[in-house]
Amino acid sequence: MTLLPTTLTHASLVQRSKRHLWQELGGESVILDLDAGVYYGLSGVGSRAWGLMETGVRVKALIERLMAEYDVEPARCEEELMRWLEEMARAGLVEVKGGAHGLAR
Amino acid sequence: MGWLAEIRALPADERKVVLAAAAMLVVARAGLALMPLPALRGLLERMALVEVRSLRGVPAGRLGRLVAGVSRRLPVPTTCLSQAVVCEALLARAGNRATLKIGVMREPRGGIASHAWVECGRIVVIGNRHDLGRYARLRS
Repeated sequence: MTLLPTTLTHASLVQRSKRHLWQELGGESVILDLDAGVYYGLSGVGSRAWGLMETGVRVKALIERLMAEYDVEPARCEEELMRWLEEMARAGLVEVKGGAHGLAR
Repeated sequence: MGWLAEIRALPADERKVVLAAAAMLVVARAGLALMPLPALRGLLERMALVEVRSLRGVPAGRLGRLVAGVSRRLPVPTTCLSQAVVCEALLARAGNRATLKIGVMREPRGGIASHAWVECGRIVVIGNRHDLGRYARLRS
């Protein structure tokens, strides 16, 4: 189990971290973690999701938006996005507000 | 001419800048591995190794060239980022509006290259290169 400050739910507000610099390069989002001096690369749906999180967006709304833009099965979209958001939050790239406080699955 | 002789031949203000830059580059090189970049930038800005009066006696472009020159002569390798943060700190201490910029570009073979430079107004004072225009500046 991994401890997240806030458990991610559909009601959670997610926003990309302001501590990171980023740029779009040929359809890929390149993100620099200034603190760690590490670069991350997001492509495809990940890059699009990053772009949609400039300001806070509800997870539910993010799922709906991506489903409208990509040909993906709803259950798969939701599962993979939730997992991706949790990873991004653990890496400090995404901030999560709202939802339930507690231990992540 | 040896490096020490070169330094002795510099005007007094530039000599002080060179010595300060040498110490700051060593700190920056180590600092990048030990602390977050924002913390390092704050530390360098607080390192008062050269008087403001001396810094103001050196034009921004010349200051950038001095920092670059010092970095080439140091026995420890320095990066574009360490040179840029040192230059930025010195320029800021002199009252210049210097901007640290970090950019990325796609390499021909698919990787990503990054580079750091400092601009004063619209002039690149350190980190200029022939393909600088190909680097897309990272934004927050």
